[in-house]
Amino acid sequence: MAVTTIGAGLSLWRNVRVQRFVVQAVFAAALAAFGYYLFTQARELDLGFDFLNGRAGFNISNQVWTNYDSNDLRRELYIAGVVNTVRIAGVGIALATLLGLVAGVARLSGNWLLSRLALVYVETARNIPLLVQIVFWYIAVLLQLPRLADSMTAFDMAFLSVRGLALPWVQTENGFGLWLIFLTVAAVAAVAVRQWRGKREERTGQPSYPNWVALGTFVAIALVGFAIAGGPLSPDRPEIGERGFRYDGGLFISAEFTALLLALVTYTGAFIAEIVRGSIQAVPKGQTEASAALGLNPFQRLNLVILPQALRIMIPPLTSQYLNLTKNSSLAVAIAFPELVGVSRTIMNNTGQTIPMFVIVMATYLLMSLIISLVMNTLHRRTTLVEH
Amino acid sequence: MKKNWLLIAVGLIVAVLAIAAIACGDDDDGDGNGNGDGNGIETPSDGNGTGNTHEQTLSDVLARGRLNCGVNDGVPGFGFLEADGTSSGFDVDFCRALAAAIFGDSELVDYVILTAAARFEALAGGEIDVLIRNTTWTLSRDAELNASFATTTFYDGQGMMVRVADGFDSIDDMEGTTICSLQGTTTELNLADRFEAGGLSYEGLTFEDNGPLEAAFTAEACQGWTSDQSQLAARRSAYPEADGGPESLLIFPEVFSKEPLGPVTRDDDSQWFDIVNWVVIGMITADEKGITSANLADFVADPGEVETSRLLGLPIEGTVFDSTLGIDPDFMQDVIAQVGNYGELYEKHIEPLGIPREGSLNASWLDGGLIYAPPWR
Amino acid sequence: MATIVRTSPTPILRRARRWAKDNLFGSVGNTLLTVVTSAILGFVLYQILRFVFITAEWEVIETNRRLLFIGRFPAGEEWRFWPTIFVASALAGLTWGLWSRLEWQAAMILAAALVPVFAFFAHGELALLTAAAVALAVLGYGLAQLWLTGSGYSAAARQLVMVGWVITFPLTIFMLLAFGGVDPSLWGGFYLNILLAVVGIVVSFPLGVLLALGRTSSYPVLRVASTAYIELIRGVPLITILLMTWLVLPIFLPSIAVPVLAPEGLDDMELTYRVMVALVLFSAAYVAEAVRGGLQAVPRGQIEAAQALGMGTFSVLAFIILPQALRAVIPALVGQFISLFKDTSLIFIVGSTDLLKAGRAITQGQIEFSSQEKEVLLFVALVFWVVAFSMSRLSQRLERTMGVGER
Repeated sequence: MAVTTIGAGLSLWRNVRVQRFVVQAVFAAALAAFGYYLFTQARELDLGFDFLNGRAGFNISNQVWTNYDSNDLRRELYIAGVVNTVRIAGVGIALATLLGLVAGVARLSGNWLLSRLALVYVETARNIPLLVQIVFWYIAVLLQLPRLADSMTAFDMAFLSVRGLALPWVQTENGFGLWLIFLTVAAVAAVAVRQWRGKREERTGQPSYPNWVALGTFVAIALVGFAIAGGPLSPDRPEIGERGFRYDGGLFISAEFTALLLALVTYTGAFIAEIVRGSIQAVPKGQTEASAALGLNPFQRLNLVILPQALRIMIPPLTSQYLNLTKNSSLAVAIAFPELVGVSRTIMNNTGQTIPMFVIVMATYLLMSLIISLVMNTLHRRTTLVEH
Repeated sequence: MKKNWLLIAVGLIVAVLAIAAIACGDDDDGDGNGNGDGNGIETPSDGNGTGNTHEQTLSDVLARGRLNCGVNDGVPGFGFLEADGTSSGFDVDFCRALAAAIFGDSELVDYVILTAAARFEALAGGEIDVLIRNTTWTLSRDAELNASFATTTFYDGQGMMVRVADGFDSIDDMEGTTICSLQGTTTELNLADRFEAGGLSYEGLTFEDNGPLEAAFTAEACQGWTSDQSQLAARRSAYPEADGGPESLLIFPEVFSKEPLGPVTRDDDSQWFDIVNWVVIGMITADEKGITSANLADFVADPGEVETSRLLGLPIEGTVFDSTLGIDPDFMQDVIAQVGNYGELYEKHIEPLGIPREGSLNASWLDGGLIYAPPWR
Repeated sequence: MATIVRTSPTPILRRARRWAKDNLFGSVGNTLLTVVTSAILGFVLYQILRFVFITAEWEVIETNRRLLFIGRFPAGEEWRFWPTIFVASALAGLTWGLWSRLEWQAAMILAAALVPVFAFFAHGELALLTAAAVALAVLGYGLAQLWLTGSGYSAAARQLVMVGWVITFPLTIFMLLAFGGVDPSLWGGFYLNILLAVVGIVVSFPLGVLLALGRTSSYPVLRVASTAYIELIRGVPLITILLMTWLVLPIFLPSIAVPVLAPEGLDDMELTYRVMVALVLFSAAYVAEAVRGGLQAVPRGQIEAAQALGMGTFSVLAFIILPQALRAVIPALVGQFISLFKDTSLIFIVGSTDLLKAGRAITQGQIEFSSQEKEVLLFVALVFWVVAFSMSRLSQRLERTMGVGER
């Protein structure tokens, strides 16, 4: 036989390059065909986003940063829903992390009763469907509170009733914008000061308290700015409205929001507790012993030695819990908290525009998931770098 | 790796939006879906252009040997699940009446439980033969949704229930209150319109189902509960004594929407529509004539009036009146014997909810109501 | 044999005191913790016990136990459940016995939780059948513990049990559909929750493996497509996927008839099947991520060695990579099963009568029980908990016995 180049003697099928090309081409073609099919089907339907500019026609509760009412457009209603989802997810993530941290550490506590309690909490909360828990918190806990006219109160400053919690808050006055500028300056200055003191500490080895000095800088600038802007905030005390149906003034946190929050936090907190426990146990025992030998007290050991190392292992699974919490907030529909899926369903019911609405809802969730992953990945990179 | 992920995710969102935009690109006529009339159209049910026609529903049903009836599972008195898993209620009995008329056996029904959002799709898609699930007859549903509404079986309307202790006399007193309602097709819209008309502000709590809603109302998280009046009456009559009992609640006489409820069939089968329609009319006729399941035998033995003979398919001077509906001429005998007349159903299912028939819109026209049967001839 | 005599047998009281000192009152902080914890515990326990034994009216559960467990399943067709239940409980006993041992604490908690369930469930003729199922489970466990474990048959028995589980799935479907069958729209109650979770995990498993292979593949097109699918699904709530398959899917599917699944065309599929499709599509993305973790755990050297031996891509995959990867991900898959099982409660959104929806339908539709929402909720929670808890225990056990997570 004649001399051939390597591989040419093999059949075309055995050629890896050809194989790769054929497989991918076939797959891509199949995908494209499927996409084209969906596209043609979608074209036949009467779709469009114009309905978002129609009058929504109904009121929703639980608005904090939005000011939507029934005469506004559907897209404003949708924004109000998104804001509510973001609100519940943000607060929920913060509190769930806190609870998870506490419960996770408690699981490893030397106190038998405490570690058992944490165990019972974890095993109960994570083995019951979240939907059941949401309804349970709402009906069995929050609806047991007194009616609004008979609110429980603390010094007439804060009120708690079946409608929710009213807290003293602040109102912005003229000059708030100016003060915001001062706050920004203060933040920048604080970061700079912290860097400087940190460097100094590293260089000289003398304790320079970078965090405390930075905090002091921030507070000082903020206070001066507050005075210059003429006191742009005034206290806003809540009180029971004259007919006893709503609170006037103050910061209002509704019962629906609270129930959803409690359920999401206890549910996700249980999973986070397990993550925390696993991560702490993954930190070598020698670390604990070494820090004990150095004379650190248990709190310092946890705070300075164990947790920073555990954090590194924790972040990836924590990210997926944060994503879950955000997505799970869509179950709020069961207890009248108008978040984005809830308002979207009513819009679908009223307009029949199911498909466009789904596209919007899914894109919104994807965007939120993306942002959370982005933040957490950045955090993960930062914590990993600390090691080297 | 992480970078990849981000790129892909961003690309994905862009792609989804792009597909949607392209798919909708040629739709710039903006045909006024945004008018906020809340007609409750869920999906463009005939939009997929399959041209599915169901002109032989009756022959399909006969061939299948069972009737597929779309019902509700959570409305006391009208359509709900019994402890043994079977469906029961006023609406459900109309399904049974239809089966009795077609097969001579009221048990030959398969109940398909439907949510509000799925009912018209199920009807248009042929999943059910008839929809009897407290569905309001409106123009846009009749015209756009490929649906035909038979004779109304129950005249309802959206109302408001409050606690007597709160001292409201009408909706106009309810400035600044919180109102509980169910997530529905028109409930929230009617509510908003009514408060707007009175120049009132309110806060709406919209629930997915009645359980948490009732709990919230009982706990006084809301001052008003709005729903169809029949539903409010049912809830009121069952209001636990521990919470104050029915007397502690008041339903305003004001009705701020018209809700005529009745069976629905597909637009394109007039024969089937006629059967559904005339079974209902037959039950109303029997009610007018006082023919009940108990005394049916007496009427068969001695019909008296000629119309009674026609209704029951009895021979008049040797010939039997033929309805040309395509089912046995004496189908109403089966219906009345196995299910009963309109009044019997009302008495069995609606009266126990604390909604008397007398003096209501659902009384017979002979007693000043709206229940009226066209002549059976 | 020599008996070990304790040199200083501590009286029980003193031992208890020492234990309490070590574990409860070691320091001021510890004592404080104990007091606070007891207060919380006492309060919660008091509330629960008071509700369960004093305030609650359990008649609603007793009356509706059929609706809660099998939904609208027609009367006279219940025999279809029992073969599956018998086989499954025998297999469950064998599995527990072969792969792990029942910790007595877990067993007691389970038994305590099961008592109320049985109290409501097992009345009259049902009592015998239920007792038989329990007996089969105990028998299986005993058989496995006393004879099989440690004997030469243990490996064979394990394989047999695995095959048994695989067969149970088609058997269940067969029992529901064969001999005249029961319309899928009538499947309901807790049985539907279990069925949906099992179908979801079993069917999504091969799909998930393919997706995981796609995501780790060296073919860019496959990789991008798999990654896109996985991240799309994982980025949105299940509830929207359920709503999609319910409202939107029928519009896009062609009317091609598929036997059993959609005899009247894909666009006219039974709702129950559509829910299954949604759960499978959803679960596949999560299974894929679990499997991907397993794939990454297979040392590269193994693959290189296999390639050096002249094995083809497929052989390497089928005989070297997958067996190791899948073994490593079994605990994660059990976890996915538990989470899918809990998620089946979300099908209320499309109107299927699962356990939770049945409970809600009771308080909505049966007017005499309209204020018994709390009782129903507690019961539903308990039933879900019993299954999810025992599964999670099993998963922890598997993790330990299989030596996973000890890297």
